[in-house]
Amino acid sequence: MNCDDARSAFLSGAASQPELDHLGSCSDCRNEWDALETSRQVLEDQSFWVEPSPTLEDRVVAMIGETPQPVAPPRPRRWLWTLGGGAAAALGAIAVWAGLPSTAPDWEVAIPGTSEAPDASGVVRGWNEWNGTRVVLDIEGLPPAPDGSLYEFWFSRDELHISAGTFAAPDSVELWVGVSKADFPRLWITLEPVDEDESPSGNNMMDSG
Amino acid sequence: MKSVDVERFAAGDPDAVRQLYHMYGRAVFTVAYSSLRDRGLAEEAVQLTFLHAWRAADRFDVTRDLKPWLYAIARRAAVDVYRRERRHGGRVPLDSNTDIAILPEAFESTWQAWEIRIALDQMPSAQREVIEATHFLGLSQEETAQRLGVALGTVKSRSHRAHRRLATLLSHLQEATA
Ligand SMILES: [Zn+2]
Repeated sequence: MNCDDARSAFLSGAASQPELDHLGSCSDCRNEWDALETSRQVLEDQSFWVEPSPTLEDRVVAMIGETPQPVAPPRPRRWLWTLGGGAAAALGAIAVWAGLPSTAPDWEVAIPGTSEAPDASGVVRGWNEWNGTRVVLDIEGLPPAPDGSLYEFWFSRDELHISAGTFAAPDSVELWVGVSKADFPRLWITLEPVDEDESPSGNNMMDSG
Repeated sequence: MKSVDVERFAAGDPDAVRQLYHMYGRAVFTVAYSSLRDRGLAEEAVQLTFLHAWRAADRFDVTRDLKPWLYAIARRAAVDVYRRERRHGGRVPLDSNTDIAILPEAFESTWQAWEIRIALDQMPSAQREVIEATHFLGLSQEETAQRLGVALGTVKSRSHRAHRRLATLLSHLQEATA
């Protein structure tokens, strides 16, 4: 008997006794028994046959169309800034623009718009790593930064401000910062003119408080 | 089978996105639904899968097989949605004593479900209909013949060809993982 015939008969649920006998006695088929059994369970599982909504395709296409292309940030490196003129410059932050982190975030905080951006709202998710924090900002209601300016995301404690990087198009933005939220609990976003000044401007747009 | 133009997909070309969706969207949904068991969450995982794939597409090596790459992204997206729902006490139907790090058994056989779904989607629809009638509707071959309005012999030969195709696919899977 042909192995494929016996296996396909088993999968179809209509195997004859000689076919079942073959599956039990043929060493090749016995090796495949687990895969055959799992596959038959997959086919019998009603959830396997559930169809997605007909609109899902359009939603996928629209979502990709509406998401800005990841681009290299214009000012990739910013150093620690302290209003008191502090040290610790080695804690500099580098923006990274890669795929989203794969696991659930370690923390998540809301970041509402200030009176400068009352329609803005957002959520910041963070992944703690041994040398810093990977953050993903999901922002709504904040217009793209005007020409000659960029948004900048800060981790702060008192007057100590660490930049996590800049972005022009607020949507879903992934950044990296070399500090932890435990040490720098205040998260906020300013609108910065593109200049040499690396301190936060007074244009506070969104703030976790 | 037409291959996906990964470069156009990476550029966000809507036609290329649709092409990828037509080839793999149903299978991505199967991976998500068979583990999450909730249509809304599964569809969210499908959207995340395509978003992640799009973001990573410019780093994809086009000489490699797209299928395992996309499967890995799909499974990860389902796991992410699952863990998020677990944390927020959401819709995933679970034993509340299960540790968050432990994925339920439903995540185990998603690779086979993925392969079988793609194989079905690539079959002539006449063969696929017979498989659906047998396994999803639970019909006998006589009932299937009646339902599809074809001769019993036609159902038998289509069923044989379709299941044989699946059986052959499985032996390849076995070789690939052996
Ligand atoms: Zn055999």
